[in-house]
Amino acid sequence: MSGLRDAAIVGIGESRLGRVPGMTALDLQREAAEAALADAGLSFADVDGLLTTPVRTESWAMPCGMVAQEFGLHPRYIATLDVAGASGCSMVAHAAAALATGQASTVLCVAGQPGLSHHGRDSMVKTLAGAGWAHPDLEAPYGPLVPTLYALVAQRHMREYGTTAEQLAEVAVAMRGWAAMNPNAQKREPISIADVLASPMVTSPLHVLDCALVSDGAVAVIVTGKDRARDLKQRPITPLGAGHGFSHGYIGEYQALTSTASADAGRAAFAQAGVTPGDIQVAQLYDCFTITVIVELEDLGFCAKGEGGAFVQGGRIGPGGALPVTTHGGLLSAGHPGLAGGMFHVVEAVRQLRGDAGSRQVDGAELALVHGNGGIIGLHCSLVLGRL
Amino acid sequence: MPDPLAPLLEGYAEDRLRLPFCEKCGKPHLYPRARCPHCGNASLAWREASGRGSLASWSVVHRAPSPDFAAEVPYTVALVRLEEGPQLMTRVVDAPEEALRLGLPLTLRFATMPGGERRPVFAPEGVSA
Repeated sequence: MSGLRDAAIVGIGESRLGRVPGMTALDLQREAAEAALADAGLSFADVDGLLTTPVRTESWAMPCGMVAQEFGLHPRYIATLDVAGASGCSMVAHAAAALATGQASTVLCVAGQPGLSHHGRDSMVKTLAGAGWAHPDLEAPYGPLVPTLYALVAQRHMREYGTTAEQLAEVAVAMRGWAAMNPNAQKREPISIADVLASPMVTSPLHVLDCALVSDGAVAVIVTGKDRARDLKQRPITPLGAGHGFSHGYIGEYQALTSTASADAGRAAFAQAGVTPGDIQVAQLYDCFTITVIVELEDLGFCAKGEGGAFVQGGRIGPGGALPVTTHGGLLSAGHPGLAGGMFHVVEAVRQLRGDAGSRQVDGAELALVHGNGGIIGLHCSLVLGRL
Repeated sequence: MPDPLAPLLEGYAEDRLRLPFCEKCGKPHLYPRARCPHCGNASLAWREASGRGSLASWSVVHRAPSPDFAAEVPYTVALVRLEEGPQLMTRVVDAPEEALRLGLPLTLRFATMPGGERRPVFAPEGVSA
């Protein structure tokens, strides 16, 4: 199969991230889209495909139509894609599929919302708690937060494998270490393991600093054909492998709590790319909670099941570590504007592969894995990206 | 199509936990679906659960998801594996966090949740209500 490799990521863009007052979802998405087009040396007139995601700050019946209308686009390929937190990775795979089937020549993937300014953190916590991630009749009445649903995975992992609160905290510290070098990150002041453990307990064993931020922001990626990419401004970055995985909708009935379908997504992506985890120089892993990264490291094959906690110890996934993970600072420290959150991981992978990551550049980054996780660790998408 | 949840929720209103058993493969399942998730058969028989289970995971919630729950924090949301096989979300009551461990034997009770719903909860075996 060569269809995926005929595509190239040629433009990346971020809006301002964090607290960005006075911006609607469309304002933020325009900022990101214009940045991505400028990065590629393209304009809206070159775009004939559009992918976006739902947002939680507007009452849009048809997000892709609202975004197309705002940008004055009349694309021949257009869709709203929703595989929850996996949407960022998945949009790249779908864009490549649209190119391969002749439905578009240049696809703009864009997402974002003013989650922080529109809701505030408390209101967003409440909104998410009632958003259907917990079963409305069989789970929500007991009062779980969304973080509680992940805490159930974390608790089981700790009890089953001996993973410690300090090991979970290592993930938060690593993300903050990367974010300190990312000028667009929402939280940049350094934190220690002790700071994470001393931060308020939200839902045991997860502290506030084990949980993602709530942010304003948007992000965009331009995908076009490899032939066209050669004439554009940037070194093209190639999707070499892509895969999805799904295990469950509700965490309450999922008995294999600490083993996720990220294994299926990763296996498919690695197989298509013809590489293994050992070939990857930089891994952009979805980090909605600290436990998410530990489970992904195991299920994607970077370490054995149960060893994720030990794997992250000693700064191993942070700056200067053996396996740089989520080098922009992720959802934990750079920002988490809803379904757009996981797309920042794609953008960061492209930056690393281009050699444009500045002070957080990983030496010799030629192959990157990007992984998105959606729902309550039940829906996954992996991408292998390369400099080819 | 009848709501596959209805028999379970009607049971809850009477403080009864009943499970849908497949009339073909014999296995019970949760959460309720119109067809057996193990074999796809649509013929299900609802039978009383034993009320015994074991603790599969838990989290003590310190921050209420909405004002309705503010008076209750901290409370323990849990996953319980029923003796019959299926797992469900619930709460563990009458047990300090230090006493919780994987596999802890639990028995069924019913309690009224802050939203007014009557729901199954679990307590350690031998702890009387």
